[in-house]
Amino acid sequence: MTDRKDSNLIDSDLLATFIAETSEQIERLVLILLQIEDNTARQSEFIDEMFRLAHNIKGSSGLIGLTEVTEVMHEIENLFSAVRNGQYALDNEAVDLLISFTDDFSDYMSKNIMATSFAGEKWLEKIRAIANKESPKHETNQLPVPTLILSEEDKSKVNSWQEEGKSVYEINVHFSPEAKMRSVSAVIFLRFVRTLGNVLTTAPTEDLIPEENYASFRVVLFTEEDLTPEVEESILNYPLNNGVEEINIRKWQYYRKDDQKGIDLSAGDSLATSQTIRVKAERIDTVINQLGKLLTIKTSLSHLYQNGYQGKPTWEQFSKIVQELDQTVSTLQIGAMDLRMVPVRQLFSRFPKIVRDITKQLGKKVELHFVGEDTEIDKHIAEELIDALTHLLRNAADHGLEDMETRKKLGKDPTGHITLGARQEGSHIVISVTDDGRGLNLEKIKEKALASGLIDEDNNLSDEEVIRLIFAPGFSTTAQVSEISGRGVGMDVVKTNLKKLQGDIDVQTEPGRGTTFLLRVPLTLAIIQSFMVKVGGQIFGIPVTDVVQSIVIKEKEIHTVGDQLIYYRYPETIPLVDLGKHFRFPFAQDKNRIPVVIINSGRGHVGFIVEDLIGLEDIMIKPINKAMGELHQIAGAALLGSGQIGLILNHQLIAQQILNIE
Amino acid sequence: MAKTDNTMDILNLQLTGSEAEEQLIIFSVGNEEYGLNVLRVQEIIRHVAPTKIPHVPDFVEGVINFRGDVIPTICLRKRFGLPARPDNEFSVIIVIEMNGKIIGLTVDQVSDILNIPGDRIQVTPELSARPETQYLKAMGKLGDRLIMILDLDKIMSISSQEQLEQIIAETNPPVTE
Repeated sequence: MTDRKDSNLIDSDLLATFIAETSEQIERLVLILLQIEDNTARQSEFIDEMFRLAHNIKGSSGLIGLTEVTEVMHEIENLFSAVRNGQYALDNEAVDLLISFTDDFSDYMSKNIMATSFAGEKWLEKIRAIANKESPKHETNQLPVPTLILSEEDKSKVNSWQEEGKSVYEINVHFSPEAKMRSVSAVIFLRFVRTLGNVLTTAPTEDLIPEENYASFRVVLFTEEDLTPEVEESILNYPLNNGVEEINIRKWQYYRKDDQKGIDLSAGDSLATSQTIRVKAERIDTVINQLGKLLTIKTSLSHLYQNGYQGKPTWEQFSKIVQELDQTVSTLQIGAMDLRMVPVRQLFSRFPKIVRDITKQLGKKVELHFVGEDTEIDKHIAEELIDALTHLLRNAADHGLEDMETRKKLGKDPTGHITLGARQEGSHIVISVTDDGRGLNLEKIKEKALASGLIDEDNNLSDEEVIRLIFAPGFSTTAQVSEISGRGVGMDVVKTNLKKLQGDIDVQTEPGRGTTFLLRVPLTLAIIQSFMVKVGGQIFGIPVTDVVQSIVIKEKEIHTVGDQLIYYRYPETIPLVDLGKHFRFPFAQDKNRIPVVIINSGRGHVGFIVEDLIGLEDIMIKPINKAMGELHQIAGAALLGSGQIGLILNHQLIAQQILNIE
Repeated sequence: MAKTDNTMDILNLQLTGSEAEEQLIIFSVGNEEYGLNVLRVQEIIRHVAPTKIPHVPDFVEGVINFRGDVIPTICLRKRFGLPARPDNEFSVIIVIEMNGKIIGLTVDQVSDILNIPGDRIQVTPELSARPETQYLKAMGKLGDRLIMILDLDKIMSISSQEQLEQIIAETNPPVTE
């Protein structure tokens, strides 16, 4: 049915799976390459995983007939294998090349896959050229990293151990190239580790320890429980002085037994793809359990119905069932919500690459740190935050951080540091972007605000108020809603987008010490509390987070300035929107009783004149499909308890329109 | 993709001649009979009063609750420029899927499901600019019945003229009495 140019008919499910899996693997590969770029000495640590990633991509691209990709991946695999055997070491040039290849390939996957063939020729040449290049420096003193070999039996041991909720760790001892007596260190260390739990295997294996020809020594350790921070500390600082560079500990993630990949040794960051969510099996079990209960309730209901049919309905029975139903449904609701939660790590994982790209252009050195990346967030919200965070990171790297020279002069670390953090605060998630740069320049902000007419010469703005100006619409001269991921876009767009998510943004800054942007978003979008009103006989909802107050006023209290309705309430003047006229949903008004909902628009208060006030309701927002184009004024719809549909106002947009007309 | 598929379907039908048939759901709007490929149809439901949406073209009736989803409905009478029927009691909504989106089409009445042989279907040339005819994809003839086969994409897409009108309507502040 499809009219794709390619004559090979590939099952679209297969293709989708390929794209999802491969994107994930490419993303992981890039993450590793970026770490190696920071510190080429760490390549031995990752080489097994890199090799496996390349191998997997080669295999799956072969399966769907992307011959060109298979060839390039084969060459990359060769390159990695040379690294693994100690014949070659990746330098920054090689890492750079590989990263640009992944860019090109990702681009191909997202745009042209199956339509044209991948232009692999040039990559083949370049990669071969690199592999053939001499790298004498490393050849002489770099010893191979021994492969960790797990037999099928070992793998099933790992699986069953983890299934019982116990932990599996991989501990890696790196030797410096000059290290002597590696075997002694290895044996002593192994003896120590054995006091902590059961050792499954080591790399090199125990019988090969005396050979001394390895760059690292790895142990796979089974423990009953997670290692306490104290124990981890004692491992990391275990006194081995014969040229041990570093010790790391990594906990293996739990994978299902029937997972085709068996044990995935990748660091366990199951990176996100856009179409799929990985869900912990236990969460699905919760939902299924609740469904089971629902079935039981259904059965009791039909019993009751039959009893009632025979003329013996009992109200106690009925109310008991309703109670049970209520409980089950709310547990089910929570369980279903949980399915959408993903660790923010999935959101964060794309940023090292973005930061790297921009700092390369700028000629700065920046380290990106993550804090709290296990915090969970609604997948949809995570996706909506990508643009905002990209923008904030670019700003931080570009404007926030000083260049290396300046930093040196100021006595700061020449490498700039940006930290992406996440934490939960009640029903919200707070994501922070912190840089250790120069801080916001209040004078410059004032100048700019003056120039763009946002403030007057004789303003008495506090520092706080000046800082807030950066979020004001019209502050940034190049504001363009559609180009948020581009450069030089206004903060007001970031703010508006966050508002759409029922979130907000705040900023803290300290001159010379840096700036922190705090993004507050709800844990989940699906259910919000909404203030319901009636307009023209229909029900509308306004998200309660922005509702300041609802009041009832008299017609004579409403004044007109031009076309603009105004309500004056000491000490402020509140512009009013008559929603009935605005929507052309007319309704009759009682001159002495005009209900108004006052909302906070971010640029002051705006009042909505409505037909009637209804009250608060918890609603689940449903999207209205865009078959008829964008509905700007309406953010979504909700099915109300009464069976009616309530429309959720895009109140911020309506308020903006009024303020702009004004 | 769907668009290409459709044209392909009809072309294929015409090419393969009488072997292929197109199964159509037949409904009426005004005095004419129209047809839609049954594969597009999800369900036919009784007309319910929709929730109106502000600032949309007038042929969009509003949104309804269709099995827990909020879907828009389109009044084909208005779309075809016909006067509204005073009594909507017998109106039905044909719920269709288009480009992955579910929408409802409000029609006067659903009458039949017919198999029309491929050689009885003819792709319409550009007909006149009359609203009822500009949304046609093909015509089928069965006995003396003339069935007009709708082009869903055209029904949904808003022509530039209409868009202009809509923009004018939206930017002009509503008239205050």
